[in-house]
Amino acid sequence: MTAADGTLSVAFHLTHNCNLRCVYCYTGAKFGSGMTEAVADCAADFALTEARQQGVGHLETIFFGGEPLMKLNLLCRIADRLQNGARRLRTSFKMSTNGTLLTAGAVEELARRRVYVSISLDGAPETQATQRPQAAGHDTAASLDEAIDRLLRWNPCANAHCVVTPTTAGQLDSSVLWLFARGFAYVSTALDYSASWTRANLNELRGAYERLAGWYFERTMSGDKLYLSCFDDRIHSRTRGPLNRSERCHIGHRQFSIAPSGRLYPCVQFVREDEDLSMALGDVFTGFDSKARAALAACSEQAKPECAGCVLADRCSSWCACVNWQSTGRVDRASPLLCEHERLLLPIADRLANQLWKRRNAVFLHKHYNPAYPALSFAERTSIAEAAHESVE
Amino acid sequence: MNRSNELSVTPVKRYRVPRYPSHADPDPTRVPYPVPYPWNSQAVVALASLGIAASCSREPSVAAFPPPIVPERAAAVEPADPSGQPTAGSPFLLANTGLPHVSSMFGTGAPNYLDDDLAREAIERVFRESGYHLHRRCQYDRDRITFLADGYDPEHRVGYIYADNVNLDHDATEWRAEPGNTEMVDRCLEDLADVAEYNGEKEAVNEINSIRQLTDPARREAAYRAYLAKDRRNKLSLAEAESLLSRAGKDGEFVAVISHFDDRFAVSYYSDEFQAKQSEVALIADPVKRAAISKVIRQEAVQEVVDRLERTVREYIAWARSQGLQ
Repeated sequence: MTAADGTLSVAFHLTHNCNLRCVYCYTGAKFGSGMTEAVADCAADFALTEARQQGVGHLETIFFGGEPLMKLNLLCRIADRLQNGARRLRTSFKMSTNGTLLTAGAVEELARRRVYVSISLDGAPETQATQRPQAAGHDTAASLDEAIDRLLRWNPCANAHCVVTPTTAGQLDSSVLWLFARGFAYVSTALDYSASWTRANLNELRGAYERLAGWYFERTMSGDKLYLSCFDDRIHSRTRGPLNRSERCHIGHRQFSIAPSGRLYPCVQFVREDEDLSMALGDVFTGFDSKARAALAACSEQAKPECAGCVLADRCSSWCACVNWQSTGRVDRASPLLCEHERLLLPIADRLANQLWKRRNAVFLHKHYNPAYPALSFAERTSIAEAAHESVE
Repeated sequence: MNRSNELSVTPVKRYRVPRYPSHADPDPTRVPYPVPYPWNSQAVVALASLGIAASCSREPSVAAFPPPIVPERAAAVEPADPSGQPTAGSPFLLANTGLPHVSSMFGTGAPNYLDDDLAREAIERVFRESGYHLHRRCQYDRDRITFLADGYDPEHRVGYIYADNVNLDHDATEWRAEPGNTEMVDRCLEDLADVAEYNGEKEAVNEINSIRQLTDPARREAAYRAYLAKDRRNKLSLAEAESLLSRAGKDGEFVAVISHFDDRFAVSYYSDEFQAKQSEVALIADPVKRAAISKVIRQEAVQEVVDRLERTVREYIAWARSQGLQ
């Protein structure tokens, strides 16, 4: 891959504040009024300059928080500035939101700028209430219900992001099933790497994955095209091969985060309250601290002796400094939770894929071997949604 | 930060290679034959009106396929002597069996082994044409070697076993766990369940899964070993296969161990030669004609292997006769 084929991924943390108080949130205390317009302008210009200096062809911008929709006007300002200044650079926008502020007006603004929205949802209202309570104690179920309808009507391929904690591990299958039943076709799951997990928790999670695998098999055999990251990403690690070094995120280089203050961090997990300057890499006003950046790269890219001889190394993301840092407090030490989780999940995902392969299931074959599948399934899903809306209207 | 002391980073030393193709294998949506994109019927209606479906389809078109390559003929398979003349030794040696059949950690996909029934038909045809009348499914029990032979002629004391996942003992097809190695026991159980699932053996799957659910590792291992011991009498172990092959002809008896996992009898759907043929077929515009020709070249590939198997069995009989077979 040449640099021109590459992507620079920049996360703008628009605010530390949030209207929810999720039990596993890693972004730290909720406070302040967020990024100012002056910082935002400077940050956008910095991102464009960095992309050009690196010679990449694509600048990917992620709006993050706190809750980024608390700063919708600023989000639009940054997106417009990046779009206007991009010239030959390809730009794309993503946003991770809790969905509670996804009003019709917000959807209109986001749609105009082609922002791809991923909504954080942990499942049914009762799970949501315990894992993702509101700061003011209000019930979010009603507002989320409307927001989900609005989001899926706008983009039927919107992603739901479900965080799995030790408390919810055993009910992951019912949470995921709820999300699919609610109309999502793309569901990603992620562990809370900062929590204290036990083998008992992982055994519960194994049971949930086994149940989910049975359900996924039936749905795929019946022709449904679903994306479920816990299985599909692991199957991809065999069908698409391991990421080579140039394809990885390269925290601090091909990926970095900008705090509301304008300070630069390696990735979203490191920003927190913007007080631990040991992980800061400079700021948008004076640029990167090259020594700090080089030290981070040297530290995170080195081989991990604890993984030596592992035959699954190519299929595992033990290279991910963020996960390692969250789990162990160090970027250069492999996460025990990640290791145990991969050893638990990979055989389930492989067995599921073996069964679908044995039956030469066409959905399985195209999803995992046809490079045009994402575009084809997107066109298919959008056309079905359009047709459904037209018939209703 | 995760504060649990229970969890640890443990490198995996052995892992059963999945059966589904890897990134290094030919694209299974095209090889051995194109698999059309499974459009949802509602989408077809919607997209057809826009003319998108036709342009997005993975159905082969002239532009979608590279020009056919003329490959060098695969040299991996040594052709057997077509005349069936005696050769220096038996063509069915332990080294050729592919046993023990243990999946490699990482590979480029399993070859397409010959259909069991087709293989047995071919073997029996050669024996019959050579004047031997094989009795089917004979219990073989001699010198502590016990298994169910697929065919045996008691008058001439010649026969064969077509060794596959079903009639081979676990030591010939699965991983082995040393006593007390509970992690390996668990992996073997998982592997057994996988194979049973693959073979559609529902009862076995249930039994293995009930063993896997035992929480006490010692009980789990004991149950695993009991499971392996069951039905062992009729299955051919690796040691038995070795003895059988090495003693061939020593007392005038010849029982060939012909292995399902012998690479000489794998259908080369993944060979450059086969892919080149498929690429040529893909250029045929008429879908009915294309499907028919695609079927023919698949049948030809299978027939080529059947012919090779028959030649090898003839070669075996010729060799056995040179060693005293009547």
